[in-house]
Amino acid sequence: MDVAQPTRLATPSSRRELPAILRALPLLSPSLLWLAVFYLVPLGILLLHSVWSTDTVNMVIVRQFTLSSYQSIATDPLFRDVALRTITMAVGVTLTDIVLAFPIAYLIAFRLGRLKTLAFMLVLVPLWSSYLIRAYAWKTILGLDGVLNSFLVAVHILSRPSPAFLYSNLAMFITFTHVWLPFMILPVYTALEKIPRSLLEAAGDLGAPGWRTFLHVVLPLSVPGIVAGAIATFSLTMGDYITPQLLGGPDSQLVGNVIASQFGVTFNWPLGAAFSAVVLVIVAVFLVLANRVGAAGTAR
Amino acid sequence: MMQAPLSPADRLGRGAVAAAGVLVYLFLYLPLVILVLFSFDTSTINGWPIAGWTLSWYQKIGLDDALLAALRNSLTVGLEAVSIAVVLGTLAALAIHRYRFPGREVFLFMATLPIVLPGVVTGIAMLLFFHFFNIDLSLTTVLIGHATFCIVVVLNNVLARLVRVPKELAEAAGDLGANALQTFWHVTLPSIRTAVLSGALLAFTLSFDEVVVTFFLTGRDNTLPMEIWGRLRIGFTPELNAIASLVIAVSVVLVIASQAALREQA
Amino acid sequence: MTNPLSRRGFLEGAASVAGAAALSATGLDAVAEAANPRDQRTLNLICWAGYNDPSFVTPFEKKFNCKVTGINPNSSDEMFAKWMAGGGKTYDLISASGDVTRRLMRSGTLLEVDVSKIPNFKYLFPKFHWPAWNTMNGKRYGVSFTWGPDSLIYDKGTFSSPPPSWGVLYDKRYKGKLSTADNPITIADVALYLGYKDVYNLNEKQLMQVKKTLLAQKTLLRFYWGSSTDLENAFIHHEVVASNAWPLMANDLRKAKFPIGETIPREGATGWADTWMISKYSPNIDLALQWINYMIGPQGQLGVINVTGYSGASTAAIPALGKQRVHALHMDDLSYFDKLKMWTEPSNYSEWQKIWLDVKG
Repeated sequence: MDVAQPTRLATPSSRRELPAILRALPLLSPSLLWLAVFYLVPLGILLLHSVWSTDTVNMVIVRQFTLSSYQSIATDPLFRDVALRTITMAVGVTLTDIVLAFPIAYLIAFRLGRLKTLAFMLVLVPLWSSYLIRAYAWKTILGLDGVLNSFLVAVHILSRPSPAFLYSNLAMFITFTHVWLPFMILPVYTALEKIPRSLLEAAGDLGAPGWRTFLHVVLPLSVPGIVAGAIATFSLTMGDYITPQLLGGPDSQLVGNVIASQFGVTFNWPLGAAFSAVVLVIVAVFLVLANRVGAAGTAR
Repeated sequence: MMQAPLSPADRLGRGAVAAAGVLVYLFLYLPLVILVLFSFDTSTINGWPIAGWTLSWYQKIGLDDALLAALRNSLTVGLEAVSIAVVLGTLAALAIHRYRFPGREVFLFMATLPIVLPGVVTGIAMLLFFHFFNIDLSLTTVLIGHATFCIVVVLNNVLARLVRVPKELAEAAGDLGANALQTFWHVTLPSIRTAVLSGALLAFTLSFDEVVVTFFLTGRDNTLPMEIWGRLRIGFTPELNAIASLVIAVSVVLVIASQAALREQA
Repeated sequence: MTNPLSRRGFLEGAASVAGAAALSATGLDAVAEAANPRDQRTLNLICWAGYNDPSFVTPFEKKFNCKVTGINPNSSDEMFAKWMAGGGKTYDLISASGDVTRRLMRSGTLLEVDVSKIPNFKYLFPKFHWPAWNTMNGKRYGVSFTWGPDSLIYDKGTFSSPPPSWGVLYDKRYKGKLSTADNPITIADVALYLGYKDVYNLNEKQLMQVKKTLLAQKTLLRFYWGSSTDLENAFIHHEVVASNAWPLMANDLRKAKFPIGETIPREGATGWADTWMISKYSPNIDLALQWINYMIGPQGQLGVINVTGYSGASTAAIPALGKQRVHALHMDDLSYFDKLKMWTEPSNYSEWQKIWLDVKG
């Protein structure tokens, strides 16, 4: 190992410099070890199971290489239909959350002065209130004799309570939009906060109306926040199997449910693992796309 | 600093957006209001409008051993996971910030996976992992699952702050004769302290209410969300609303208290 | 002094952090057992809600100086997943229903039950001595303790008299107001309605017909019910007017003063029995056997019947229940039991699973 003087002339330090990797290793190794053992290895074992098969006569996983699970997924319309339904739901929820996040992030960042931090923390409070109970509350709100129907009938928008709000994809959509919203507001607010006020004032001084400043200054600078929030909401929806069970109708299965059910009485762990791997790829594609959009947005 | 005056259209536009923001707040809190209201409902069927009012569900919590045990488990797992995460995550963030080592980008990418990949995939991967190595499912496996994403949350939070802290500060301290620990304690730590705390808080929040991954990792002892999941669909009572309301109340109090404390410090 | 941020210093620090984490991790389970003194054993159950009710668990705990914990899954899938995920090592006992017992038996995680160690076995109705769903290769792997029908329940406000046929669940007139159990074993109910004789032995043609019927039914359903409260609430809020269900739902709805009707249509009904099965890895086999003994004895039977409203597989509680209740629970004349097509695993259950998944997707 060459311990000659460092080539970085800017550093006046006379200490002998180890290669960066060795200096980083003490700080890095605990996390590196942890993530490698408890995250990468599990993913590897997941992929391993995806190329095995199940034997429900002897109730064992047969540890022999086969692509049968992937073949099922490729040929069976069930997986395509459920995946499409889930992706559509995830994209819809993401777009809606983006639209909803901006007004509230704007309100907190620009209009609340000293109440700003408190208002921001209040966005986090719903995250403390149990996802399950909140989803259950939506059942109460959306049901035939629930809050929403009572209200709509009372103001004569509906003549009769509508069964469309609960046990439907609409119910799931509303619940997802609500539950993931704080995860979109957080990064969007952070992004808005980072925009130099001077930039906005300059745009105003130059005569740009509000919507123009938004489109050409605020929006591009918010893109990293939007991307971060979008990744969160997309991924959370792609992996959820709870809300469909609580609020879904007869046609509301999502990929999370199909995957989870493979680990039940069906005992087809390899198929569940294979479908998980496919979902992984879908999310990875979305990640790449989102980062592309992000890079393009900020480059403007 | 005089700003150009807003046109009436602009003023209206901004007002509308702010009003929309208020509406979003209402949307965010509507289920919470419903949730809290029903914790006082005498009947167990969540009928609207609420017929009778009572405090008995809150009293029942005190006698409900299983629910209290689950709450204790959630708090313990959360605190332990965050403790691990604060140490491991902060150290890793420091390493990534200070040193340009080969594989840095790869590690950064890997460090986003636990929060980016869908929960059901993470849950199943970890289940298969524990099953493969014959490790019993228990609160320990739950802890391992939670600590994994907590580390990543703290790491990303601290790193985001470190990026805004000039490296030269630490090097200058070193040149002035401070050893690494002194540099860390007096220079680096103060600048990241709030990031560590906010990362820890976010991580704890995520762990406390985690459902999708925890479902696959619990053994004989439930966390609070797992206990709620079981009772939500069989034998539901507003006692669940009551404990959720208590958690909201505690978190609101903590939020307001931390605000007051921060303001005093400033 | 070792510089903490030097390579060696930090590896030492990291090791102690890891050690502390490991210690605290094991300490976690100690927290969970904190309520439990070291000389007291714990029996870990995974069972349907109501089967570990304090009303009959507490006396057992006192008598045997132990702690009984229970995890209550919401569905057969959840119960099976939790059991198999731990390789059968997580829990001592499982209260499995007939749709999964044979898969459990084949998994190799169950203990063969030696009924000579269960004195109260003498109380068990003879029909539950060697039932198909507990017996494999001439060995028994569990003891049934409750049973019941999958009956048709209906809103008396909509139906002035009991619907005579299961056809009501496939009737377009009630579109959007029906429900059915989210479990592939429900295919047996469909087979019953379609008039097939051997409902657990369906051939390709019959399965195709069942699938067609299920797909047509899907458009009429409000939702597939997964657990009892899901369905009960749906009835109370008038989302649903008819569904298949267990006596538990009818009982709960009656207790809630809801006008619920319960009937067995002319095509007959399927039925289920719940069986306590012991993990062969259990460190508390003797205690587990005591539990089974207790649950088919007078106190356990009375307790579980009171809580769930299910019929008992044992005669032990008949004196305490009284003639009326015994009759209502069909525990006096087991010809009722004979008429039920009791759950058991169909030979081609994997195909049933696939059909169910396809229909729901």
